[in-house]
Amino acid sequence: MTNNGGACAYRRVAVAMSGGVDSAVAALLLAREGCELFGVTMKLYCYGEASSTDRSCCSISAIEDARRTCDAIGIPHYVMDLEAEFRRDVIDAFVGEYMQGRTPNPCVDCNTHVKFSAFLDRATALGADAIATGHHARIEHRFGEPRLLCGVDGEKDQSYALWGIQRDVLAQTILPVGEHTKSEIRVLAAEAKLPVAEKRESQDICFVPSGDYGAFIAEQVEADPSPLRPGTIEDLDGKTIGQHGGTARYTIGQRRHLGVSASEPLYVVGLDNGRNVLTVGPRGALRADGLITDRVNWLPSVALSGERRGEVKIRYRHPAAPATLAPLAGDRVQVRFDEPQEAVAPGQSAVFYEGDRVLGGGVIDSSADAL
Amino acid sequence: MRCSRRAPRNSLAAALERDGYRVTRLGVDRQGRVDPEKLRAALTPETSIVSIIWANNETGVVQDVPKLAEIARAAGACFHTDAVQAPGKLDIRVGDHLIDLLSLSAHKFCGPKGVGALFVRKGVRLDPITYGGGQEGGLRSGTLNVPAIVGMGEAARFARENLDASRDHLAALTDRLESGLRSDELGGRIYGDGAPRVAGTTCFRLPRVEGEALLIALDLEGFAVSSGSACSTGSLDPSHVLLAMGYPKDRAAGAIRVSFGVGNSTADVDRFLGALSSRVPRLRALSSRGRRSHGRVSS
Repeated sequence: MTNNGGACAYRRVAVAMSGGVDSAVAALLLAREGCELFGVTMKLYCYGEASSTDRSCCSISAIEDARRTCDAIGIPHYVMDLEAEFRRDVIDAFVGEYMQGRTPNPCVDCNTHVKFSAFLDRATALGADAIATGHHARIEHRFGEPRLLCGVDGEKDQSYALWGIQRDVLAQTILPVGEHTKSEIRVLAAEAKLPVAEKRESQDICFVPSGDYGAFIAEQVEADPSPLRPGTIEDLDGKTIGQHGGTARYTIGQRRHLGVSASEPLYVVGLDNGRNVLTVGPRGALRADGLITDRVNWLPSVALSGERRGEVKIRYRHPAAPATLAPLAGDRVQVRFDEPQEAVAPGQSAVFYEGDRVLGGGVIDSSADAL
Repeated sequence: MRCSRRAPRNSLAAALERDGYRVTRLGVDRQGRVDPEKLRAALTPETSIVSIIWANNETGVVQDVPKLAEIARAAGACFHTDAVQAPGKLDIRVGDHLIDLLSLSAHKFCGPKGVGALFVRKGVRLDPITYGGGQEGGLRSGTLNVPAIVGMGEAARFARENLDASRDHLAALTDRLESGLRSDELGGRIYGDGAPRVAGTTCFRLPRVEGEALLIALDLEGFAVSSGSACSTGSLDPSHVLLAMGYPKDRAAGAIRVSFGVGNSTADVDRFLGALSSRVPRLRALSSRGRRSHGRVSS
C-alpha cells in the first residue's frame, strides 16, 4: 500500500511546485484526494529580473507558472527563499568538489539538503504534516518504515537522485507522480486544463543554464585556481600527448574535446589536480571492479552489518549492475561489481538498489580494482 | 526623501536626477523621523521643492509636517507632502499650514481605486504632465472619471464626519495588538516605537522568527498581512523604509505589517494574537534547526 490511494491521510500537505508539469500533477492528485494543500516554490538561486531561461526550473517565469497552476487547482501559493541553504549546500559543495578533481552531482545535494530536508522543516513549522513533490519515484510504508522505490516509468525514474534523503524525511514525504508514467502525467494535466500541461522538460543543472561548468566555477572562485589552469595530458605510460584547459573542465569517461589524436578512441581515465595532469587511455582502462563510497545514507532501519547483494547505479543513465555491498568503517561502503563497470567517477553517486527498492547510496570516493 | 513610498529604483527622485536635477535625500533617524534641523541645514537658495511624506505607509510614523513646511517656506522653497495615509486618521486642514501641494489617494480612505487628488495652493504654478483638453485647470488633460471622483468625494466626506470615531476605534485595536506583541511570550519589537504614529498601522518583528515563514503561516490562518516589500518573485526583499531607519538587512527582511480598517474588531485582534501564540514556538524552533544527519551504515 502506498500512501496516495484513497482519502487523504494527512492534515495539511505542502507541495513543492517547480512550475513544471510533474509537480503540477502531484498537487492535482492530492487535491483530488481531498488533502488540504498549499503550494510552495523554492527560490534557490538569484535569478536576474531579465532572466529568459524559461527552461530552467528556477526562473521567475517558473515561479509565475507555479502560481498560475496553484490558482487553477484552487490552493494557495507561496515562495520560500532558500537561497542561503542552496548556496551553502549545493553551489559551494559543487565548486568544492570540482576543485578537488571530482565530478559532483548537485541535484543529489539539492534534494538531500534543500528540496526535502529544509522544505520539510519549514512546512512542518507551518502546520503541515507532510510534504509532496513531483519526483518520479515512490514511497511505500511497510513494517513501520518508509521504503524508497523507483518510479513506475523506467525512463523517467528519478530515484537515483533521491538516495540522500534521510529516513525521517521520507516518512513524511508523498510522491504521487511516481505511480504514473510520464505520458499519463501529461494526459492528467491536459484533462485538468492545467496551464503547464504542454510545458517542456526542465534542464538538469538549473544554476548553470549554459552548461559551461568551467566558466561557472571560474566566476565562483578566486582568480585562476589550479583546476582551471591549462596543463598536460598524459597517456597511461606517463607520456605527454597533449594539453588540457584545466582539470575541472573534464570528467572521468569523457571522450570528446580532448584535442589529442590517437589510433584508438581515448577517454579521460584520471584527473590529478596536484600535478595538474589529465590521464587518458583506451576504453578498457575505464573499467573498474568496484568502488568505495563515503557519506553513505543507509535507508533501512536495520544496519548493513555484513555483505549484502544488490544492484548499483553509478550514473543517472547507468543500468544498475549486480554487485556485493560490504560495510566499511566510518559510514563507508565497498561495492564489488559482478562484472567490471566503466567510468567510475569520484564525486558522482553510487546508489544501492534491491530490485525496485533503493537501499541507500553514497558519494564515490574512488574506484577499486582486484577487490 | 530617502524614506519615501516608492521603491528607490522607481522613485521620483531618481527620475529627477536623470533629468539633471540635484536631489538631496534627508534620511531619517532610528524612529523614522526627519530631523527639522537637518532640513534647515540642507536648504539652499537653489532649493525649489521639498517633499516629505506625512505618515509612512509601512510604519505609520508621522512627520512634523507643519514645522517642516514652515522651514521650507522660510527658505523660499515650495512644500509638498504625500498625505495618502492621513485621511480618517489625522485631522488635516491645509489652510492651517504652509503646505503648497498635498496628494491623496481615494482607496486609502475607502474610496474607489484609481482616483486621487492633488491640493494646489493658490499662486503655485505647475507644469502639466499631460496635454490636450485642458481639464483640471490645464494640469491634467483627459476626460474626467466622474463616477470615481464623486466616489472619492463621498468617501472624503465620510472620513471627515467619522474621523473621531474611526480614529478612536483604530487606536484601540492598535493598542491591543501592540501590547499583545510586546508580551514576554512574543517579545515583539515595533518599528517606530516611541515616535508619533497614525493608528491602524503596526510594523513589527518577532525575534528569531523568519518574516517569510510568519507571513505564510498567517496567510494560511486567514490573515492578510504584509511584509515590507515583495520582490518580483514574490519572496521578500528587505524594506527600504526600515533600511533607511538604520536596521540591518536581516531585521528589515523579517518585518511584518498589520493594517486595520474600521471593519476590524477586537475579536480579530485576539484571534490574530492567538494565531501568533500557537505558531511562533514552531517557527522559532525552525530558525535554530541544523542539518539532519544521514542514516548510519552500521548500528
